[in-house]
Amino acid sequence: MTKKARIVLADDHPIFLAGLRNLIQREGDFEIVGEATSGTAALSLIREKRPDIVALDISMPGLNGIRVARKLADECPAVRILLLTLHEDRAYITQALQVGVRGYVLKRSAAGSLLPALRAVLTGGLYIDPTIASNVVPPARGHRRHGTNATLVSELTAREEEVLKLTALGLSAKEIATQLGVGVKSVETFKARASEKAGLRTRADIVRFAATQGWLEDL
Amino acid sequence: MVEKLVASYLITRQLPVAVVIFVLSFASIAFTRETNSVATLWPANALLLAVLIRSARDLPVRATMLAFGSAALLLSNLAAGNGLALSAALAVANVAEVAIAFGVLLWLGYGAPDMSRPRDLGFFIAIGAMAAPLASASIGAAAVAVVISEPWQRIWLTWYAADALGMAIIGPLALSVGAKEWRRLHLERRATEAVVVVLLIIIVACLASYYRSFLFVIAPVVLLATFRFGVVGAASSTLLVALVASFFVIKGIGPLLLVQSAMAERIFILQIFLAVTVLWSLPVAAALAERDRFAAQLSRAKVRAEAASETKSHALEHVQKRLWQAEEDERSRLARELHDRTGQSLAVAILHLKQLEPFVAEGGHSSLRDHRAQLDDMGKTLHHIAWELRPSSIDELGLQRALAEYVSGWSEKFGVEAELQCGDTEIDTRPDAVRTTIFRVTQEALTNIAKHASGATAASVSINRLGAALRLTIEDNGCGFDTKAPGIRRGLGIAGMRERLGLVDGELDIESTVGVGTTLFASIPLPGEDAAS
Repeated sequence: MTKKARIVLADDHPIFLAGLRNLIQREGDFEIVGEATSGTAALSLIREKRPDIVALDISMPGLNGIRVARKLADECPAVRILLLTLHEDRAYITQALQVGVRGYVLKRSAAGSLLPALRAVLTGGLYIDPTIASNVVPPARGHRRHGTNATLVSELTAREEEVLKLTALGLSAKEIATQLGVGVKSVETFKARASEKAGLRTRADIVRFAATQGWLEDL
Repeated sequence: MVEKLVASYLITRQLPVAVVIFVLSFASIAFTRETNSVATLWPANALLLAVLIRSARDLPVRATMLAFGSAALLLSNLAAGNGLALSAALAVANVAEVAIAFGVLLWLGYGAPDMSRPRDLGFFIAIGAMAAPLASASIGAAAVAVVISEPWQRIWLTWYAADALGMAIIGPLALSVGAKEWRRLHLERRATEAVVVVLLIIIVACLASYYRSFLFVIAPVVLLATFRFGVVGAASSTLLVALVASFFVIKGIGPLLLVQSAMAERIFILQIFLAVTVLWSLPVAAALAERDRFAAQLSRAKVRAEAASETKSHALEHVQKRLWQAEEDERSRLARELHDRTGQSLAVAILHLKQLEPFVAEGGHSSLRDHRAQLDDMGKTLHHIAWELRPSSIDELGLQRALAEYVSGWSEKFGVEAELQCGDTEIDTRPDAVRTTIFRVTQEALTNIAKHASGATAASVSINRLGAALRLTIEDNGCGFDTKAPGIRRGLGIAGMRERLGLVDGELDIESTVGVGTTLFASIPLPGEDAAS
């Protein structure tokens, strides 16, 4: 028989914690080495016990689960982290994956998913709760054009460049017109022409372009 | 003490008035001698009446004034060479006129008439100038008829006309000088204008004495004086005309009025002319004053109403802000409650169901699984409701992250390419109200794009520092709309966004071109920030 996986549980909800304990203890391949009910307690417990894996709640008093995970990634990179949470907002999942979390399980599906998730993470895999996995697939961004901008800057006239710069700062056509002392229609024409030359389609493109030109730094 | 005060009042106020009455009366009598017993106007009575009206509202004071006046009238007659009996009769006639006029006015409630009010002026003219002289003319004519061999009717008519005219011209003038209306004229600042108007009247009156056609020019000049100087202008210009004309009539110069007629008739025509002049100019002056009063009242009322409505709208704005804040707080509380407490309990219940499994016969497992699935579904709904109320990610992960995820979620849901650009590095330290507003406005704007901007293939949300404000820009390349079309703003939930921005003193501007797209510009001032930082 292989060595039991040492696990630390952290959740500020004692009844839920008891339920988890119950669920895990019935399995032969896990050994619960500690429990914590706050982020700070969890962090010191993990530093002390150096478990193989931790199951962390996100919303906890003191440090939240994501911040604990970020600290662990620096201090004990060997400890694998699984988040067990109520949050199904994609913002949390993205953030969690960025700080090195390997498993993300919703509390309401813990009964069915927690054990498979723990095992997957322990063997080096990545486990995202199936009910929210579709949220995490990064959107296709192939349609975005890159790289052609720089060569075209020299083709912009001073006025076009000025209009583009002010547009990137968030000024409306009316405001730009007032600032440059020209008509709104002219501003729109300058903007359209400049966007065409630089291959910019959306305002976001313009802002990005402005940033790469260093236009936004001298504010 | 009291005696001293009364004495000083008598000497400083009443004695000079008595002297003036004496002089006026004496001059008028001398004038009648020149014109063969006819005077243009008799000013002494009007002056005495005006002084009575304006003196302290105290019977002894008024009684002594009346006594002083009587004495002055009696003495002036004696001084002019009339016998004691005649002098006494004439003095009684004049004092009777004054006393009757004053008594009736007092009785009717016009004891202190304001000449700039049409109603007061009307009563004063009717009683003081028209009714009261009936009495004095009757007594006076009877007394004079005894001494002079003239028909009493002619004497009565001359007496009546002179007294009535004196009351109508001198009365309003004496009552207005120094009164409230007088102070409103600000003569001290308009001395030049007053002198010019006076000269103009004298010139016109002189010209009228030589060239009959100029008689008609008197009316516009008196009207000018009336417009510029109100009751005072009307009365004093008529008086000036009377003095100038009387002078010329006596000297027999010019054909002011039919030269070939007898002196009495010429003067009578002059009197009619003056009466007509004063009877149209005074009401005009009073009506103008009334108009000015109404205008002033109206503008005061307007100022008050404006102030009241401003206070009201401020209060309303304040209440609105409180209301929105309360709503947002409540939503946030409800979201936490639903998500953290109920969601947690639900998760516990599901775990418990799972733990029941070993104790339930194999046949019951599928039923347990169904229960779990149902609770799971509830959890999903709960999460959705809580998220709609207020995404907890704003507070736990920060606005930028919450917004970025919202935007990319929206993008996938509606198949419109979208992205967030945040140029404000301190966005997550901004006040809660500002962050919530940015999130909600973005939400509303993106919902609008999905609903209304048909054909949109790209959208972008940018946040920038712009001077001392945050600028949130949301753009799409959809069908666009005519921003000037009526009703369109309300239809697009723009009013709602405006109101929400108003809570943080923000503003919303929209630029849209049909066929090109729409851009929303929201500005939120950052308190305590200056443009340079």
